[in-house]
Amino acid sequence: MTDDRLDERLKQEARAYRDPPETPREEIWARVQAARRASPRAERGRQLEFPTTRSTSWRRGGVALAAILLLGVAIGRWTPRLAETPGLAERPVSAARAETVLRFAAVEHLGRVDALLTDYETGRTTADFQATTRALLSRTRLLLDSKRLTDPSMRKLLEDLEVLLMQVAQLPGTGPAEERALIDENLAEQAIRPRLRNAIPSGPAA
Amino acid sequence: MTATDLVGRVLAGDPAAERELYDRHVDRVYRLSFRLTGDGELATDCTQETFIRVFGRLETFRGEAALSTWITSIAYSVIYNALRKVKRSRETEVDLEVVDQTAIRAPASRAEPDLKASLAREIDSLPDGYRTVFVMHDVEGYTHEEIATSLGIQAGTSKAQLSRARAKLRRALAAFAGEWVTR
Repeated sequence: MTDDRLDERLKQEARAYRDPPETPREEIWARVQAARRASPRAERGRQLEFPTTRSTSWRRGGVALAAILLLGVAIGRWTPRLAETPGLAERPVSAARAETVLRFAAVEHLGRVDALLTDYETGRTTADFQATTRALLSRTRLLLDSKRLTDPSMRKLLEDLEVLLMQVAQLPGTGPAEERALIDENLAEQAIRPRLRNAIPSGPAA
Repeated sequence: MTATDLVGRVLAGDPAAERELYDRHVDRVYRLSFRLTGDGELATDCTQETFIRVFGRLETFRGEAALSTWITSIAYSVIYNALRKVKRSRETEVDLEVVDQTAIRAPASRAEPDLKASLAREIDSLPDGYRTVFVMHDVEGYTHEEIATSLGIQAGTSKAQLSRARAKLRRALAAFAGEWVTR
């Protein structure tokens, strides 16, 4: 039997894999509505939950970076409202400042990701490596959620990093060889390190 | 009504439009959640969380990808996180169950009479990346482009992962090849 025919057969048989029951539509809808009524802010705030680990220089730096990010996002969200307010419409400086703050935060963030990837590639991972990876993953999503971050190449780089960090974050310890091979392939195929270095004007963060 | 119109109405606060958006996409999200988690309760939780996020972030939808793909990317992120939490909580237990399963699995892989059960076990044991792409493409019928956009990877990576997943499954199920020819 050829590989193609086997694959076709595999597809047919695989359709029975974890065959889902009927969707509990009404139950889920009721729960969605209840959750949204109970906590409208929860819809946006969930990605801000960082893992709790012991304090390290990574962590302290991360808190500072998160504060900058939040400031940037807050300014970004606040600025359009200012512009809609009579008498305050002519304040383009606020928008420019928001973009500058976010750009700065993004570059700082990329530096930290670059440093983490160096640790990953050289195998010099510390005990809080996974927690750091997850925190960086959360911050990547936070940056992507900001409307003020409009540079398409920066957004694309952050999107690629989000997937990569997801893969790295799920590696237990040094990780199975296959999973590591996938990550390495992803790093190489998408030229992550060169793109990171291009996006960081003065090299990786200390 | 187009997806763009629907999103506009939801953002304008139309409750009927919210329900319509939900109805259009909930089955797809639930099916993917169930296929990837294998757990009805977890799939329900993931679907709920996905739609909370969808409604919360709808204003960031730019229409660069199809609405269904954008929703799938959110669903995948939710499912991925849920699976990670489950995995972590299981790892903290002294897992006698795994020992039992290993003991049962070893002889079964050679003389398993039930092809579907064997296949299910082999799919379960694929690396996460392979399994996700295999389930999305071969089981749920997503295109490589949809998978790539939803998972934030290149379409080529999706194709490569699918190819490797199939190769692993073919090798693992080689004993059934004869049976497949005759069925």
